[in-house]
Amino acid sequence: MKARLESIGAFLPERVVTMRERVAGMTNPPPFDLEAITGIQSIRVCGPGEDSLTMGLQAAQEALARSSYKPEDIDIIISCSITRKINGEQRDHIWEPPLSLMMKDKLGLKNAINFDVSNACAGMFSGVLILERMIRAGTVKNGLVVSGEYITPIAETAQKEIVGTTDPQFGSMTVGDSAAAVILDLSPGPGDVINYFEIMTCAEYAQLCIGMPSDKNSGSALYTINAEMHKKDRLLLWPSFHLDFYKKNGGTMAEENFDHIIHHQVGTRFVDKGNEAGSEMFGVRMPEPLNVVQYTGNTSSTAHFLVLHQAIKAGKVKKGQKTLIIPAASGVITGFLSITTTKVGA
Amino acid sequence: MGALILSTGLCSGKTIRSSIACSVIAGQEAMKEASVAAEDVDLVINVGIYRDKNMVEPAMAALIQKELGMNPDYIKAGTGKNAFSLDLLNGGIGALNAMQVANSFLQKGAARHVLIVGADSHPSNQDVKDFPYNSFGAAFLLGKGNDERRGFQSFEFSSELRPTFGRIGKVNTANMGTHGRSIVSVDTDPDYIPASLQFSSRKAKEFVKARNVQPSGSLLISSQLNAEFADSLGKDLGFAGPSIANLFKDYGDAHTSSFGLGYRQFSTQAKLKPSTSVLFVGASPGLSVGCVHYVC
Repeated sequence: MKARLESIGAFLPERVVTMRERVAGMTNPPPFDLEAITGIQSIRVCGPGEDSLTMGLQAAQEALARSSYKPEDIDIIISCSITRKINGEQRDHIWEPPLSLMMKDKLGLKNAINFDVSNACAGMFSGVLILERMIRAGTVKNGLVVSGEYITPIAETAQKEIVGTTDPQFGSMTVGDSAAAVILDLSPGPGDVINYFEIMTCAEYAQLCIGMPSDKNSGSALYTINAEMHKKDRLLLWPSFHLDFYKKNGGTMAEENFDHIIHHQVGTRFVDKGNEAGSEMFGVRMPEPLNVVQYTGNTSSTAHFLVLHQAIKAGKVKKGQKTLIIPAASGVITGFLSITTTKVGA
Repeated sequence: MGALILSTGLCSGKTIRSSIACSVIAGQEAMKEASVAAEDVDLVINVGIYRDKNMVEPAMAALIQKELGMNPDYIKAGTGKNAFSLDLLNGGIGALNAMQVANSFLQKGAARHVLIVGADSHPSNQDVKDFPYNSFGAAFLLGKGNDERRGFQSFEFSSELRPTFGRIGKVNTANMGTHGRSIVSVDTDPDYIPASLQFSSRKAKEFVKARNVQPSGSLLISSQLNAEFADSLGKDLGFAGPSIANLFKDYGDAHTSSFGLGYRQFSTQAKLKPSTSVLFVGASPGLSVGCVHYVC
């Protein structure tokens, strides 16, 4: 038994902030061009009344509207937000009850199990992994994985606090708000299926990226040692892991004929470096990566699924095509998800 | 055929205040008791909610995994083995959700061992009067089962939403000032605990009847929302007094760690014999209830 992607939804708030505007709002603007370095031209930011919960609900509603399942048919909902913010401008970070319970109620998923997962930018991957394994085990028949990320408050803190050119809050300048949701169910066959999905945490690097409240201002903050996080050795973790998977289970990257690849949306250079690491290890040219980072920024846990959603909407991911999705997150987390999409494909 | 609880580990928050340190000690104890090495654990699920400094990234599970020495660097190790970790949050019943997740990974997946671990500490790592939970670390180490009469038998999760959820734990990040790493508010409705007891009792009765669990021959490990909660729930369900884990007097409300504390208490009392039936009942804000039936 395998699972498949049955439906997908996403949400981007209407308000657009350009990288130039964001940099102009810094107390100490850097001497370098952040837009040129990251490739990020603009970012979406929550408007009044919007937060992790409201955006997550919007994405989930789209996924449900495009699904064959009615709300009461859904067996489980897993919310995967890092930011967990409710009550709009109050920015209440909620620890309990879980966001998934609030969503379950608002979406009318009256027969669903619910819980939240939190795993940095790999949150949605963690939710999808749990759901995929539970479907394969026969524990549930289907489920909804959702994440709303109201993460731009860390950019506000960074604008006030960054000093110098190697400040650990520079990564916070790249983030944007969004939500994504997917519904998985049992695969009907090889044309519509999660082919394989493996993920791991290399915990030696768990302290390289820490998100917590600032002690200098009233706001959330993220402190990242970028030089270590994005070192070549870290980038090689995915292809090394993937290569071992082929050795154990058969197959090669060349034989796979992936139509698309999606990397984490840290910036356009990061995506290119990820692809280069793959080409180097597998000895083949990787597919042209799908990106939205130029117009959304790094949307943390929703990034890969937002890219997939936008690519389907743009007609780039067609029915029956095969996509390789590569998580990258604090922890350090990496892995590979191979998926053939027919029902949701363009 | 369900997964098996191989061991438990505990850590007293009276001496170790950090949720991460407490979880690590509990995890180490569980692994040592079962003689399972770090490289043989495939998944770590942290179910603790309240954590050091209100950290939101990375997962607390990753920081715990690091201290437990699991999969520090896949390439450097060169063994081909790996491990994954994540935080699972669902108030006081996350540990029961984690048991169901682990059961799927172990019984039908490739996982060999899963460590469920957690502690709920005030973010300041201090004793704070209005914080309702006592910091205790608890860990369950789970392994594959091969006998359908043993291990996890059934799971049921229910919720009945109240407008105020009965209890809300949060940090108002817009107005927290510069002390956000050391504050959290937990607001509780005056009738939360009686309402939660009533809902838990109703749902547990339905579960016991539907799954043919015999309270007269079983042990009960439940949330410990106050001094009377476990006893009232147990007697409502027909459990005999000595078969109810009463933990509040010694530990207070240890929130997500209550189930590990209760299991350990029965183990110490030599009550967990082969084929002993155990009912876990978790009560949580929402209102939410989780029921799990396990056979030793």
